[in-house]
Amino acid sequence: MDFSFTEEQEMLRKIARDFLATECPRDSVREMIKDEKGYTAELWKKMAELGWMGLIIPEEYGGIGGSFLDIAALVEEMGRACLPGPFFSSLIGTLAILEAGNEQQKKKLLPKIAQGELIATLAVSEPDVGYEVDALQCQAVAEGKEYIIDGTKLFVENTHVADLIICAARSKDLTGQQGVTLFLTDAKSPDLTCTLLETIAGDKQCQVIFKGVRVPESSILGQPHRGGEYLERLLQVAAVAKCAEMLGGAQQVMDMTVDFVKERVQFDHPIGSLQAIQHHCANMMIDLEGIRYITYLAAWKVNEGLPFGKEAAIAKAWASEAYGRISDLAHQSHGAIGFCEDHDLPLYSKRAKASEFAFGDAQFQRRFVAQEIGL
Amino acid sequence: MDFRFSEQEEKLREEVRQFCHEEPPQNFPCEIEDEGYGFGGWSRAFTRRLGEKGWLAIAWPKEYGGLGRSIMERFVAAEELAYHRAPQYGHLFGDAVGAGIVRYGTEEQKKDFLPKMARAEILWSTGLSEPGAGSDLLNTATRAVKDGDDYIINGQKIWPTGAHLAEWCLILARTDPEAPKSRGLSTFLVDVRSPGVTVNPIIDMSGAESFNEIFLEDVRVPKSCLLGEENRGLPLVFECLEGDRFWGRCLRHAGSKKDLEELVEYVNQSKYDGQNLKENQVLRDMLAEIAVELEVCRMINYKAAWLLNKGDSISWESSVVKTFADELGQRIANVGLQILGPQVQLRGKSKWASLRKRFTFLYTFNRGLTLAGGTSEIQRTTIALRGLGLPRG
Repeated sequence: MDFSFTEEQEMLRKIARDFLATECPRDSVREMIKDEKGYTAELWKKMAELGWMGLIIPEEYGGIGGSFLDIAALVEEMGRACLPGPFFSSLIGTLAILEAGNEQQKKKLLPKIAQGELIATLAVSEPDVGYEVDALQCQAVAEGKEYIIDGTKLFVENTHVADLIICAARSKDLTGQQGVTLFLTDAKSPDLTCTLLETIAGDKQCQVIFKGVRVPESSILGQPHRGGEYLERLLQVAAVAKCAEMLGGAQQVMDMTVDFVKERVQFDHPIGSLQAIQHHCANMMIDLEGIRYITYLAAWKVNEGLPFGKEAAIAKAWASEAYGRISDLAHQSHGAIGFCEDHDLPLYSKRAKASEFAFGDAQFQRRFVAQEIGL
Repeated sequence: MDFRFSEQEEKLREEVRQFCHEEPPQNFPCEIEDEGYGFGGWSRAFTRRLGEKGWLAIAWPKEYGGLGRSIMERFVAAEELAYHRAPQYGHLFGDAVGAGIVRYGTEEQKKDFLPKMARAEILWSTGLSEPGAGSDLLNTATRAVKDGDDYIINGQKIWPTGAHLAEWCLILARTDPEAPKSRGLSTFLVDVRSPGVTVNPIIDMSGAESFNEIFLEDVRVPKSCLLGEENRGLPLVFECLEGDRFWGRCLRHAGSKKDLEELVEYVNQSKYDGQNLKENQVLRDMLAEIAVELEVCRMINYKAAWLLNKGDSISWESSVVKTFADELGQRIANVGLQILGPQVQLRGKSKWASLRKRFTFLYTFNRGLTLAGGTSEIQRTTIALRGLGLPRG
């Protein structure tokens, strides 16, 4: 048993932490919320130079060939910094291509992603569907060598700056059997309308309406009509990556709160000396420790190629609710100052809500866990 | 990062599993029934059997009757036994005292006590709390006064589990009333059969008889029974308590995994109000939530075990272990009761008793989990002060 990161991973964490502390201060995070694009080309370029976009991409496709635990370590630091921009959403697109793409697709897309020249995103959720793959409404109808996609996708991250949308749509095989197919679609297609949604976190989530979007057969990612399996697995990996990001955020919220309650003086003493506040902090710590180790367990299983569905669901179920509790107690401990728009804390607590829903909230995950324990 | 157990650890686990199949722990009589901490009931016969296997002293040095193996191996064996609901309560306090003797004992004490403890020839309880010193151990009023080569102890202890069954008890007593509160305490290894010791059982709200009060009246204890230095008892006790906090709670995930499995089986097979329970989304969600929490609990416990195994000491980490485990234990009991329905009120030998009886008992007994061995409030304060560095109030 070993709970520690390797020396290289520790170094990656440190580099990421230092880099993001300088390049992504909280003021710039706030600025990016108001910015329509949501990130700067300058920071994106620097991240690409550090090799982050290609970290998970094998060397043969122009990446660094890192492991999933490397990515988890990096994403954790990004969560700590509340990094804005399309890194995470493009990572999920990258994972989709790695998981389901054919050689030609990988060769064409991955080197560009690794260079930071191509931004991908995954479109699954719809107005009436979260992540229940079998319930998707968006349709892809075959016509000759093409498919025509119609439907509305919601909460598609960073589509407004993406080049490539991986769209999950319902399709039928020759026998009429229903299935799900993943399509690589051009984000700039004229038959596609992208609207930036106004969200509490100011993260860049979009509504994407596909209206007769024509894609060639060659843009199918993985097996046609059998995309459901890839997609479920991909969503589970994405959930684990999201947990790593939430872990970093929750750690930052914890640190911020501890610093504050040590400094803030009322009744002639720092409020951190009061048991009411101490117990809030202890509760945050217990929840945080829980997020940390359950996330590492799930990430390790992904890393080792072991079955990880159950652990991914458990980690996301726990992190979704625990991060919420941590944010709530952080606000209570910060008092009114944390209630201000300009304070750092709301950056995190609002993101916590977005993260809770991403790739399935706690109830969604527990529906899966219930089956896994034999119910 | 690697969450696999080593080959050697897995081999020991398999041995323990085999043992539990060949000699089902349920066949051994228990003096105290399983109170739901995660480590099962108190059974002298089973503790003896573990002693014969060498499993009471897995990580103690070989020269004192131990197996000289790793802490992780000790943990793995305990975890496997817990899953099989083996009664491990009988040696829990011996573990804590044993750790104290290994670390602070004289050569003579090590030779005298450890081999006998490893064979379960003597079992232990610990006498720390007093009527006026619960969470506030510094308020200990029991006095030990030097008299030639002996100490004479007077005072009262409350809550030592199994003191009516065990032969020996670790007693915390004040040896220097002039010194600051924290610096005048010492620990003594006391034979409960000594003249002047009276043990009275306390019946708790579950009806169980596991706790006691101990009265000490002019109890004469030889100097050789002072553990550690005089007036340096507090750090020793805290260290033993850390052990108790961890070892006494670190098996929740394993013990309660069985509870969850039994509840799932019950739900899959039962109907209530004309509905198959397994179709009840509320119940499914509650059980899935317990499954999630048990897995989180497991990882928190593994983290602390890993630290101990590599020779680090744990402080606030054991408070996280204990708080999480105890509160989860209470939630599991509550969920169990909700699922099992009104029949859980039935006590005794009702035909409905098998699963329900356990949960009925847990419901009443589990009130004590978050109190025994340091309340959850004390644990939270420890996490805040030692884990987060918040200022003392």
